Amino acid sequence: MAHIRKQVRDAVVAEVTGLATTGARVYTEQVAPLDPSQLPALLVSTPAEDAEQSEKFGGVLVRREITVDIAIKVKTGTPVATLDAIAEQVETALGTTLTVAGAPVDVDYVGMQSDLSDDADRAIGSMVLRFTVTVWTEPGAPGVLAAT
Amino acid sequence: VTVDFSASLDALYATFGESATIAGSPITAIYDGGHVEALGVIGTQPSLRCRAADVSAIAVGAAVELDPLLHAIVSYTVRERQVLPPDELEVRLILERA
Repeated sequence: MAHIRKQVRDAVVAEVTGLATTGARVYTEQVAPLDPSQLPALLVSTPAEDAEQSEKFGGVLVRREITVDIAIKVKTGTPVATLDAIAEQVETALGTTLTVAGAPVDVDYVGMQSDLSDDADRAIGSMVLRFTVTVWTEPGAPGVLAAT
Repeated sequence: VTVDFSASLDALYATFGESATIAGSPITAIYDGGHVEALGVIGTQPSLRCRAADVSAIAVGAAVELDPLLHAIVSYTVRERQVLPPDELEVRLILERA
């Protein structure tokens, strides 16, 4: 059983793969800098998680707020407009719920940061969309979705 | 002792220079296409090193065409002018893909 974070990442990737702008260029394990041939691209990561033991349904479960970052990378003459166009598609694709382990879980958009660079032969733009996904797992069983 | 730096530049450009057309005028310039990484993306930072006298009238935004026999991407615009020290006999034109 995969960790719930991986299940969440996989569910996010499924939702944002095939967008008109970024297509199949969705990466979760990208460590090296992207080659221009890989652009425009989405990088899906789960860089943080807040967890607490909490009572639910008469028992104690682990409530996890998983931070999901979707980084958009572009190299174009119009980076600002392109980043916003892709962001519109990403936010629309994710919506407000995500299906994880067959159950709907809440997705909350919590903000974004963007940056531009003119260091290369064409402008490079980066925008990170941040979402929070809240799930409940059994104590000691981080791969088992217990509640949403 | 008097050193004629312009003669040295002539030798430098004769050895390392290539033909380029800037704002419609052909000149000999030295191309540099160094690789850079910015915001997690690999790119190049192309520039042309030119004799200042050859590009005194060239402004930001001017069109640049490189030799298609030497470069896969040939059309650029001038994004920035940098006068090179110490003697200001040369200018580096930072290029942006057109």
